[in-house]
This record gives sequence, C-alpha cells and structure tokens, in this order.
Amino acid sequence: MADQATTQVDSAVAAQAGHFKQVFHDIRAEVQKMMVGQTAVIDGVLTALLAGGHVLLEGVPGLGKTMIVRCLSDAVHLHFSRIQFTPDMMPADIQGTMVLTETSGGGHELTFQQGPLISNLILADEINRATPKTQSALLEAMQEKQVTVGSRTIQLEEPYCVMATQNPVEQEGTYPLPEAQLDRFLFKLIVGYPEEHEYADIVDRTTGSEEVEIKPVTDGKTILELRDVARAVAVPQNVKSYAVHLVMATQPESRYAPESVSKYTLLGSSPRGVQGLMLAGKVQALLNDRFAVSTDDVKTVAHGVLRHRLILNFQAQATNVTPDQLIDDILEQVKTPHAVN
Amino acid sequence: MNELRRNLDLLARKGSRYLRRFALKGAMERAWPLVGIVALLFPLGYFGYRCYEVYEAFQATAAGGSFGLVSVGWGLLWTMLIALLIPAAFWLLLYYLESRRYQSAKQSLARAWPVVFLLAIAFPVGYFVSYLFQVLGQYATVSYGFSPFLSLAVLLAVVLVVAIPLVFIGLWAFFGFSFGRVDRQTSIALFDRELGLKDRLQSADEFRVKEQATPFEQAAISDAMPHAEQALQTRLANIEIAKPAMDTIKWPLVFAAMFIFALGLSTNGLQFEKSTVELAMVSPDDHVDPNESEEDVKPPVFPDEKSTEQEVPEPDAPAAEEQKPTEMKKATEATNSESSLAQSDEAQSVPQQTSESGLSASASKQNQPGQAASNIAGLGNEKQKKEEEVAEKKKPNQSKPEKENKSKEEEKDDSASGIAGGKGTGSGRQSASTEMLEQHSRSREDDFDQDVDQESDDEEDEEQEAASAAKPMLNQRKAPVDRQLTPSGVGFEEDERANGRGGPGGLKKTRGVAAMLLGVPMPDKLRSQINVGRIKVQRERSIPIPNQVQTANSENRGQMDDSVGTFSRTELKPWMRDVAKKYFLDLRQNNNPDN
Repeated sequence: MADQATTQVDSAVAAQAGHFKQVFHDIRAEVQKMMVGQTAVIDGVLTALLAGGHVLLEGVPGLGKTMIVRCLSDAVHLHFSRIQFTPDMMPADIQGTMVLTETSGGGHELTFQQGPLISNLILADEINRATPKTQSALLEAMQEKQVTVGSRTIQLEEPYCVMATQNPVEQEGTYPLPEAQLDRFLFKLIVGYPEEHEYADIVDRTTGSEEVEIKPVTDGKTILELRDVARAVAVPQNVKSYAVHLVMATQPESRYAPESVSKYTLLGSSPRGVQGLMLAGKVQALLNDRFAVSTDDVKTVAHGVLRHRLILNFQAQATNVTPDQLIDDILEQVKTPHAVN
Repeated sequence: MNELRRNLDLLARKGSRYLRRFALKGAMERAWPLVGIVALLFPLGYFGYRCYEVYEAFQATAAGGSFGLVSVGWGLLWTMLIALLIPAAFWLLLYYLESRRYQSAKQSLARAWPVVFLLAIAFPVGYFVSYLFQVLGQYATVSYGFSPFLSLAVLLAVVLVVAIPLVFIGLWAFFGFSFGRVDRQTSIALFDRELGLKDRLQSADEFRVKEQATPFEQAAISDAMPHAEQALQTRLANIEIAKPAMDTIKWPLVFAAMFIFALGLSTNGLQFEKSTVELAMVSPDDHVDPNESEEDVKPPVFPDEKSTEQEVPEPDAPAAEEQKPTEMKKATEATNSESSLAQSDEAQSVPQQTSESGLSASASKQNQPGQAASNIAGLGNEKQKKEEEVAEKKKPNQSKPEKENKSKEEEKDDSASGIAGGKGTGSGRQSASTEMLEQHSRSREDDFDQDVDQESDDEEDEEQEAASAAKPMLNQRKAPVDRQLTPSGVGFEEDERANGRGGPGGLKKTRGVAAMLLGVPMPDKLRSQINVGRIKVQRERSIPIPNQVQTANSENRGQMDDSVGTFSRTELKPWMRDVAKKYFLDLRQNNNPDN
C-alpha cells in the first residue's frame, strides 16, 4: 500500500515536472521563432521568469535585448509595458501621478493615473540612462511587488517581472545602477554577438517579406503554477552548504574567498545571492529531469546570479579583471562538500 | 525504500574501500599538526626535570650554603622564554588579525614567518652549539680537534629531530590507511561524481532518513533507486584524490627548534649540577682577602683554554692544567651528591701525572668559588684580554715599557690561572660567577660606549659634509627680516647719520614682501559689531496623523502601442485660445451665485 501511494506521489510530481519542462520549451520555441541564437540568454530570461526574479540584460546595441523581452511578452500573454528611460525622466513618470480630470458634471477632481510600472512584464529599456532618483522608483516594485505614490499603495499583479537592458559601452550621460538596485535582479545576462552561421538567419527573418507571428503559449496563471512547482523542488544539505560557500567566497576577507577576490573585490554578494542560486538551481533541476537540486545546477547558474553582485575595486578595473574571472576562481577554489579531489 | 537503503549501505562500504588513499590523506593531514606536539614533549619534560633540580639544589643549600640562580640556569630560562615567547607572540598576533579579518596584514605577516622562525631558532641553536663546544673542550684532553662525541651528539640531534616527526606521521598514516574509514556521505559522493549522477545518491540518502518527506523528496528517492543498483555493479578506476594539504608546517618547525635546544642543554646536565653544588658549599669563612687588588686576581681557566695551552709547552702549566679536572671531581665528591659521585669516579680514572696535584686539590677546596666560575662562565679570560686592550687603546699616553710589562704579567697570569683561579675574583662574599658576569657586562658597555661615540662623530662629519657640499648657500643665507624691518643679526648698531633709506652708514629698510606680511603691526581700523549671541531654537513635538490608505488593484488596460510617460499637447492657435478663454469666463460668470 505504501509503495502504491509512493508511486502515485511520484507520478504526480513527475507530471508537474514534465509540465514545467514542456511549458519552458514551448515558450523558448516561440521566442526562437524571432530570435536567432542567444539560447543561453533566452533560457536565463525564462528561468528568471519561472523562478520569480528580475533580469538585467547587458549588451551592445543591436543584439536583440529588447526583442527578446518583447517576444517573451507575446509568448506568455502577459500585460506588457515598455519604459524607455531617459535622463529627464522622473519617478512619477513610471509610477504614476495625480492628474486633474473633468467629472461628468463638469467639475474637476484629482485622480491617480497609474504609470507603466503597473503591469506584469516590464521592459525597462536602457535603465542606466535614468537618474538614480528614477531608478530608485523601481526598488519597491521589484522587491515588495507594490508601488506607493503619496498615500496610495498599489499591489502589483503577479506574475511581475522587470527585465531591464543596459548598454555597457555608452557611458556618456548614463548613471550606473546602485548596488541596491543591482542586488534585486536575479540574473545579469550578457548578450553577446551571434555566431557566424546565425547571421544568415537573422537577415532572412528581419529583412524578408514574411512576417513572424508569435503565439501565446501560456498565461499568467500557468506561470504562477509553474513557480510553485519550482519552489517545491527539494534541496539537499550539501547543495545548500555549497551555495552558501560560493556566496561567502564572493565576500572579501571571508574564509572561503580566494586571493583574487580579496584583492579585487570591494563588495561581495548579499544573502540574496544564495536565494538566487537556490531558485535558479531548482529550475535547472527540473529542466534536467531531476527532483532535487545538485551542486552542478548551482554551478550552472553561478555566473548569472553572482556577476552583478560582485562590486570590483579600482585595482580590478585598472587591470581589466572582470567579475566572471573572479567567479571562475571561486568555482575552482570552493570544493563541493564531501569531495575527494 | 529498504532496497535503496541496503544498496546505499553497500555503496558506502564499497566507496570506503576505494577511498583508502583518501583516508590516508586525511590521517596525514590530521597528524601533521600533532607532530609539533610530539616534538614538544621532550623539551617540556626536560624543562620540568631541570626545574626539579633547581628546587633540590635550593633545598640543599637552605641549611647555610649560598645559592646562585645564575649558575643554575639563567641561560636555560632565558632560552626557554625566547623560544616560547617569540612564536607565541607571533601566533597571537596572527590570531588577532584573523579575528579582525585583516587579510592583507595577515598575509604580509605570513610572508614574514621565516624571519620570525629564524629569530626563534637562532638563540636556542647558538646555545646548543656553544655547549657542544664546551663539552668538546672538556673531553679534549684525549684528542683535540674533531671529537667523536660532537659528531655523535649532532647526529643524534638531527636524527631525532627529523626521525621522530616522520616516524610519528608514518605510524599515524599506517593506522589511518589500515583502519581508517571515510564517512558515508563521502563514499556515496564518490559514486555520484564518477558516474555523473548529479548528487542523486547523496540526495536520496539524505531524504531517506526524513520522517516526513515532501513529494519531491520522495520522487528524488525513487529516482535514485535504479542509479544505486547501477552503481553497485560498476567498478571505479582512476579515482582522482587531492594531495594532502599539510600547510601547517610552521608548527613542527617551531617545536623542532625547541627540541634541538633541549637536546643541546641535555649534554650539559652534569656540568650544571656540579656548579650548583659547588656554589652551595660556599661558607662565610671562605671569603677572599678584601685588600687584594683587582690586578692580582687571576682569571679562571676554561677547559678549552687549558687544552690550547697544551700545544704550547711551558714548564709549570701542563701539570697544573691536567690537574684541574681532578680538582673539580674531588670537590664535587665532597658534596655527597649522587651525580657528583658518578663524576668523581670518572675523575679518579684520570691519571695524576704531577706531584702538584695534591696542592691544587687543596687549593681548589679552599677556593671553590673561583673554580665554580671557571666552570660556568665561558671565555672569561679572553673577554678580560679584550677589555684590557680596549683600555690600552683609550690610554694613548701610556708608555711602551708599561705595555710590555703588562703583557708579560698577562702571560704569567695565563700560565698560572689553573691554580690561582681558586683565589676568587670577587671581594667578600661575592661569588666568582657574578663577578665574571659583571666583567662581561662592563666590557660590553665599554664597547657600546665606544661604538656610540664613534657613530656620533661619524654623524657630525656627515652633517658637516652635507652642509658644505649639498647646501652650499645655506650658511651664507641672510637672516630673516625682523619686525623692525631690519635684517636681524646684521647692523644692530645703526649709524647716527643713517636716514633709514640707505643713507650713510645705516642699512636701507626693506619695502619688499616683508612689509606686506602680517608680522608688521598694523592698527585695526575696522569696528566690529556686537555679537547677537546664541540663536535659540525651539522644537515643538508634533504627533503624526495616520492617513487612511486605499489600495487599488491594477486594471487591465489592454495592449499599449506607444511608449507611455509623456502626454502630447497640441499647440492651440490664438483664436482657439480666445474661444476657450471666453468659454471658461462665461462658465465662471454663469456659475457665480452673485450674478
């Protein structure tokens, strides 16, 4: 009897995990109708969406950062709004403000006009062009999933996901994101140049007469269900320990920090880093047909989760040391628990 | 579930067999720090033994004899303190930095460790070598030069220092390899890694023991079952195991240094004991004539010097010097100490070659302090020679014949030191050993004074050279202008005919930059205002009034095509503005109740 119950539980869990994987692949297939290549970036964006995090996409212009998010919004059938950040943008422009409107009787009254931040899927395009004041308007929305304007607090509808893009090259008239803002992003994904064989597809899809139509394959409710499935994935103790060691290794002067981290890092990851590693690791485990997170899953997502949480010092910038190099050092130095090599 | 448990148990045992080398590695890593403790056992034991001897000697002399701690082991105590305190202070500092997380300072200190280690080991090793040479001199009556005893001692020291830690590690590693077992999780993790199971077996082993496993944990257990069976049938090969991380090499080195030191002291055990007892036998009647001048005091002779003089044949010296060991043993015999009894037996075996031995023995009995000093303080005679040479250098007016006479006296003193050393160097009840130490310190102070004087002279010369060469204009620079606008130090006495503008005799008053400086007194022409005083700030406490907040849910606004954020406003033409203005004015006028 117990074996039978166990079998039923296993089959139910397997069905959930299978559904999760199926939806993930469906969304990816829809996005890839328009996007050529960039598989790792698409997977990262989808992982963040299903893990309940936000994504910061960084890349030079013309690589399709905005296109990925637009395609994703079409594929998941969520309310989408795009905010083009500019230096003169104010917090009220994205949160909303009180405006004077005319009533039916000919009178006037102040009503709240909600801003583009109140939506499901937000594309914060070129987020580093806005001033820190405006960037900070996103903090509450990203963490607490609510917006407060004056005495009014608006609960944002789930699923809520902010996908921001920034250009690493143009530094004129830009404002680097504050650490508090960076820490709220689950992933920072680097959008690189496409491969040689991908250029032909890009030309065909974007300059031909044939229009690409992206169909919605899921909705917000399904996304929320899949998030619950991802959170239910089991995490053994050794994986927890390994994730904690990795995050502590990013903190200079900690006992796990390699020499390069102590030398080049100004600020390490906060506990949000461990949360990010675990959530993203759970999604990875489901995608790899497993029901428990492994240390390999944590290693897979380590770069995306930790790279924007490492604040480098001047010496690192002067010697062209990148956060990815330091994370490579960390992954090499920090041994998995019970490892013999 | 039971099947999985059985399979995982089997896997753990199988993995433990595979990981014997890993157990050996762990055993060696654990044993390495203990090597230092093992090496420390002998020095600590010896130190305790020496303390017990000091206590016994003190008890023996409580009845009326004198007791000098100097002769017993100040060197021992100081060496022990230095060898212990330097590493201890260093490691305390490192611990402090570790707790404060001063990573950079800690790393620099770690780099400085070899220097600290050398400091710690230098004094013990020097002590050890000096005693070895003393032992060499003592036994050099048979053959001077390379003594078999020295080579044996050094060989023994090296073998013990190197062998004990290695044997200890070897034994530990052997038992670790034979009986050591790695933990269950490590064994299972080995199969996870080698078979690429992505921690499936570890997870299942952990979730299996949970009382209430979640559905995903149960699914993970079920998922691991076939993999566990597959792992049982797999034979692993070429398992990579990391090398032992025995980076705590500092600890055994410190204790090895102490071990060398302790071994060096152990070769001198009997000598310490002898001198202690001889000092204890000093009675108030054995004082030295206070009228005896310092020049008449004959310095003591050391074993190595005695052997040195054997090579230079002199008529009376060899007999007296060969007699000295016999005197020491006889004097020791009189103290009824067991160890001295053993030594007296050795002394009796030494052939008595001259008829003066009896005389010297009686002399030694009467003048034991001097003999004791000769045994304890090393190289005293040479120091005295150096001291006198320094004194001669300080007296350039001393005539040559006087120097020659003095050198002759010294030669006589040296030749007769074996016998005359028994007269004692101190006056009254002062022990010979303390007198010798004072002589050492005096000579050191003289040397130090000479060095200081020479250094100060050199510094003055360098300063003069620098002032004359590097800054040639410094001495010729004029003094600054004083408050009277005259160059200070120059032309204080003004000529009566001077007009202050460079007229006859007087110096011209400057009208340059100095006149603009605040150093020139200027009357204050500004009248200040009375200060209004401190500004009072009154603070009022206000209680915040809570506002009722209404939450509003976001609404479905549909798909937006354009970017939101700016509201376009069409520019009105003048006639349209007039129409709108007229409309609102009329509206206001119509709504006005007065109209």
